[in-house]
Amino acid sequence: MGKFSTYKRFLLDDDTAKYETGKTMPGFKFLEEIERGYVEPLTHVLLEDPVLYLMASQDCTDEQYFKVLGQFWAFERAVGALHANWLLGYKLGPNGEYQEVEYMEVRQIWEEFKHARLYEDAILRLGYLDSRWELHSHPWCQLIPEGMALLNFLQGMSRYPIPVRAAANHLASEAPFVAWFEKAGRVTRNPIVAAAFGAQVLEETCHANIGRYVVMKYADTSEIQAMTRWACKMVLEYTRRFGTALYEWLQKQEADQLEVVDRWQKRRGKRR
Amino acid sequence: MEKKKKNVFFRIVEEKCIDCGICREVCPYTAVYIEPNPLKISFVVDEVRCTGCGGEAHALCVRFCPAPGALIEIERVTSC
Repeated sequence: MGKFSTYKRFLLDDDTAKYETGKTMPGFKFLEEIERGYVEPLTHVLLEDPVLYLMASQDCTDEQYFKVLGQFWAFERAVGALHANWLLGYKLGPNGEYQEVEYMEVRQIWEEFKHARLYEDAILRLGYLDSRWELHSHPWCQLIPEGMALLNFLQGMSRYPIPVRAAANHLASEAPFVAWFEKAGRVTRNPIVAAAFGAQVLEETCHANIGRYVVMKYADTSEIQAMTRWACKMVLEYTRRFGTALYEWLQKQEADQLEVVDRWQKRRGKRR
Repeated sequence: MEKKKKNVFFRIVEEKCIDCGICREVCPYTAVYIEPNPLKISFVVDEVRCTGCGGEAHALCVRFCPAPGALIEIERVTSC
């Protein structure tokens, strides 16, 4: 307490002291553990992602490019909305903690939608669709079930303390993708698709660093650290499954199943 | 004759648990927590908080658990 303080300074430990077992690790050591235990293994998995090899090969078809772009577009938008939803019920800690996290969240929301826009632009420039509006109803631009599972888990993190959700949403799910985007930007054959991925590296790095900062600074009780480990492990598992399922889905040729439906004309016909 | 309510609590079998955390999400008594152990991730049921919810057939943790056999019912031993 300060010399002339008029109120007790509450620490984040005060609430969780009853669960404290004396096994709390210092912030930087804990961050190291998370990086070594969960971020690095997932990075290695993603660098060997068969989707990357597919996009680097000459055999990659327009359908496969479009499917990858469509899935990433849907995921970026959903994650942007997820971050935006957190801010609706955002509360600061008893001493005004987490205010800087709120500012960083705002930045991230903007950037997630910007990334979605990059995919949209790529899709339009490649002539896969006529308009942005079409993306919202296109069957290939809806998340596949495994992607939905990952997204659902990340959404569920909103019920957890801020360091846990930051570890899951900023660190475990973004940090390994920095390497993926960087490699995708280098190896993808199609220059427009490559540019859409490569352009995100810097901002994804910022997002990962938000996670690093929050975990190091605020994951300061053994209970929160245990939850953080669990969240990172689950994100690793879900992301791995998403990658595998995405590749399997890309192998299917489904272009002949698409059908142009003139919804506008049909609706007009009904009205008349 | 009135049926006597089961006096039980649950325990998580570590070998069968897949760490999905659903039991923690659905428990109405917040009896499930992650053990603060830096060496491993393990979910534990607080035996004091767990009311058993009237047995396996009613407990939400058991009904939502995707890993069969990960939660076992244990009879509470009472002294009186």
